[in-house]
Amino acid sequence: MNDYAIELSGVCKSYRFFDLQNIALRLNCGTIMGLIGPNGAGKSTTIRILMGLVYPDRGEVRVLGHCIPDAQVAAKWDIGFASDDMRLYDSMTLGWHINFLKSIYSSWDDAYAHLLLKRFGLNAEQKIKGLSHGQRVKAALLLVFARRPKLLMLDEPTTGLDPVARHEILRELTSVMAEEGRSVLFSSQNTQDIEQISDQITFIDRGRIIDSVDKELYLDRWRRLRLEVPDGIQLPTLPGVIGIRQTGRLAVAIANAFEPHLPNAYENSGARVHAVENMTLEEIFVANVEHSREEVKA
Amino acid sequence: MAHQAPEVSVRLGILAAISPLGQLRGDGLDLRVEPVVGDHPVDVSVVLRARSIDPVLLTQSLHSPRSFQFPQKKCLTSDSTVYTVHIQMFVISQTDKRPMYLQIMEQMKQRIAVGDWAAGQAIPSIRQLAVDIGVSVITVKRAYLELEREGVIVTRQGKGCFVALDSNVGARIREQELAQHLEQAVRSAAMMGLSPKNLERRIRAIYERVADAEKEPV
Repeated sequence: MNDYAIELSGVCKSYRFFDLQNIALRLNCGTIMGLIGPNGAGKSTTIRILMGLVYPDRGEVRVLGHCIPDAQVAAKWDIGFASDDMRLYDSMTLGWHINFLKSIYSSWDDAYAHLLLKRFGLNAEQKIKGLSHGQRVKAALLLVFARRPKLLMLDEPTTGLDPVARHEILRELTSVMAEEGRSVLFSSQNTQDIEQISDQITFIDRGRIIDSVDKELYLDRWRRLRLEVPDGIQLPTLPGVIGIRQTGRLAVAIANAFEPHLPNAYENSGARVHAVENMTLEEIFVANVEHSREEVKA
Repeated sequence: MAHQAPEVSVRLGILAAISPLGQLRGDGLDLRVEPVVGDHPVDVSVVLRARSIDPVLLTQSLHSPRSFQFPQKKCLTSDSTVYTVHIQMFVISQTDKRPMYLQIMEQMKQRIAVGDWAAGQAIPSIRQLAVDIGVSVITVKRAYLELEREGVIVTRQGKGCFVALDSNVGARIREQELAQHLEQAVRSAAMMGLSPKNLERRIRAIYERVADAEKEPV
């Protein structure tokens, strides 16, 4: 059997003002991957390639063992996809959509659909045109979740939702994990969401994958060290440290490959280590993007 | 009243708090709480009697210190409806600067230290806990691995996870906590250039102040 729900290798796609460069990505079955990156980084393009909505110029794409785009029809029976530009039929009710999908997908779970209606506070009799933006997002997700697909591919599923709805969505996403062998790929601008529910984090910036790793390892690699630098002491350049900001006698060093001996190395140089702090994904995100842009410039 | 209320049995996860359920009495519900002998040895069963139960409404009324997810599974028997309820037993704080796996570890240790989880007792599987609290499997796995390394819990292949049999595990956890606090205090003192004698004196002063405060009549 295939161990990967998603496999991308050497995928490139060129547009006039944007290039997706050599994307390689693997999502293990039974895990949740969060896709993160600044606006225009290539997250949606990557998801579109996976869905066969955009054809890559080069590279190999496999989803649930099927080659994309050639075998996309076979793959799509088991993929639940939602993105914010997906439209439902305005003049039809949500109930009509439910019946429509139910008639297509044999995996449709009616009891679950009704539970989600209640949880999301939606009314099946209401026409789509009367729904607010948040309600439309929830309706689209309901239609995807109730199919219980093997792979959920969601482009910004929590954008524009109120905090309660966001938590409901996150909870539904993690509850997918109660069943073995189901996988989730989702992109988000909300680093908190990604930090909370993903097993793997993939960082995209300017069409390149910067990192794609186990979340715990990833968070563990980053640390912020607060240092006191006495007069006349020069802070050494240490491996694994990507930036130091110093004002007066206080300095903050950011490490992206933290090792336990790092604080000692600073102490040995004559500096004092006041604190070694963990960083949130949000802080890492900002530091990482700034760092990668400085590298591009240099 | 002639009309017999249908009986709803609600199986709650670990530590079904009885106090928040108590509020339901006023809402025309009658309930009894009984430990369940079931697949999950830490479940508590709550039987609710009501004319009709709207799960959504019930969730809202249950909403108190702990939050409830309702209903996960519903199976109908001849005279009762069984709901499986998820209680959020752990609260992951967004303002807490520590990583999530540390927060989970600490809250699990707390459960053991206060005696909610007894020595040798079965605890939820990694996947189950991940789903219950809505965090990734990998984060919970990390917490379990670290707790196992510390000897707080044990994993038996094919059987699941358990609190370590060591009957002093609660005391040991409190001991570790104290050691951490003391170490932190010593570090801060060293940073300020405070002598050990001086620190000792200050600890004694705090000790006396706390003891005095406890002696005072309420």
